[in-house]
Amino acid sequence: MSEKPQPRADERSLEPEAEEHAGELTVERLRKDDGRALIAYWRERPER
Amino acid sequence: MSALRFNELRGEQVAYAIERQERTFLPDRDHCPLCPTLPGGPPTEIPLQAFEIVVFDNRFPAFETPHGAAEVVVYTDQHDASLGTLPSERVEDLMSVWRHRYAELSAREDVEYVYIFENRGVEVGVTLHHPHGQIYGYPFIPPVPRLELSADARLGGCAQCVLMDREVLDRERMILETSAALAYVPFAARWPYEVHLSMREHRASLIDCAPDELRDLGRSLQRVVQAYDRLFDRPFPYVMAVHQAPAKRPDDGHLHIEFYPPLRTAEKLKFLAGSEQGAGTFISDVQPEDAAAALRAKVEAGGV
Repeated sequence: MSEKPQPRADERSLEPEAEEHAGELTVERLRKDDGRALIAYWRERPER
Repeated sequence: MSALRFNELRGEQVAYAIERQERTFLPDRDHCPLCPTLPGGPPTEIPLQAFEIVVFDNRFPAFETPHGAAEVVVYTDQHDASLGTLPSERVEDLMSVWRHRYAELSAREDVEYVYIFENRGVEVGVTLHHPHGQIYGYPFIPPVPRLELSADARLGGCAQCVLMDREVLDRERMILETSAALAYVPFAARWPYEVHLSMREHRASLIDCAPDELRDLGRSLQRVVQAYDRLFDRPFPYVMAVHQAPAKRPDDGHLHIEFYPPLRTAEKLKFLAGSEQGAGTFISDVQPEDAAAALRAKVEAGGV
């Protein structure tokens, strides 16, 4: 049985803050290690 | 931390962001900070292994909280793409992202004007080739949008509506017409192949656009950029400037996108020299009607 993939260290450091939509897109708000905001907009958001 | 000084002689603000001297300058593609962070590879600005569109706070901001904002908008995780080569659906999605950022930044107390733009090509000072644009949230209304507001007052209504009506009547400088948007070389274009892409109906900002209008705007934008790339059969450098209503004056504007391309031929640049910089008067080598005819042919060559 294969081991479930684990998130990489820098992905673990992203702390999800909220989720919303912009038109047909899913909005994923994240924060980088240094505190800067990062927003990912997805039409097809991958499973994490 | 950036700082503003008011230039009394010109009546305008100048921003000093000296940390920007240290920003990444034309890295090779293996060290692109806008690519995904891949397993075993160097960390980039985007700690995701794949993404569609990402927006993040600029590491080297010209403006930052509590005196404005500076964001980077990365259009794709594909390093070699461009607005012209992206799937049309992605460009339509970009319009939704712009709308979302405009709404959010406009609501901030420290932002008076949300300016979405793209610099494309080393000819206009690009430091990263990965397809991306930027958004500045100015803590004041900058001079160019302020001039457009003055034009509204001078023409007794929305200047963009008045000018667009003239272009529709004249037709000679029109390069693209859709149900929601028009693109034309303006009557008094300053740049050789300047194009304005404007909402056909009065829409003060992206917020006022219906979903089908946003899709149309995205498709039209892509057709303009593709026509540019066909014009000299090379990636066409430009500054793309999105103009719309100031943050705290939501009715005072007309959404349109201005392109300022520096090329006057396939190899020759239009420089801002003595007359343009010292006197503020552009001298152009290309007749706007000729530029429009050339671009119109390239739009038509791309089909709908």
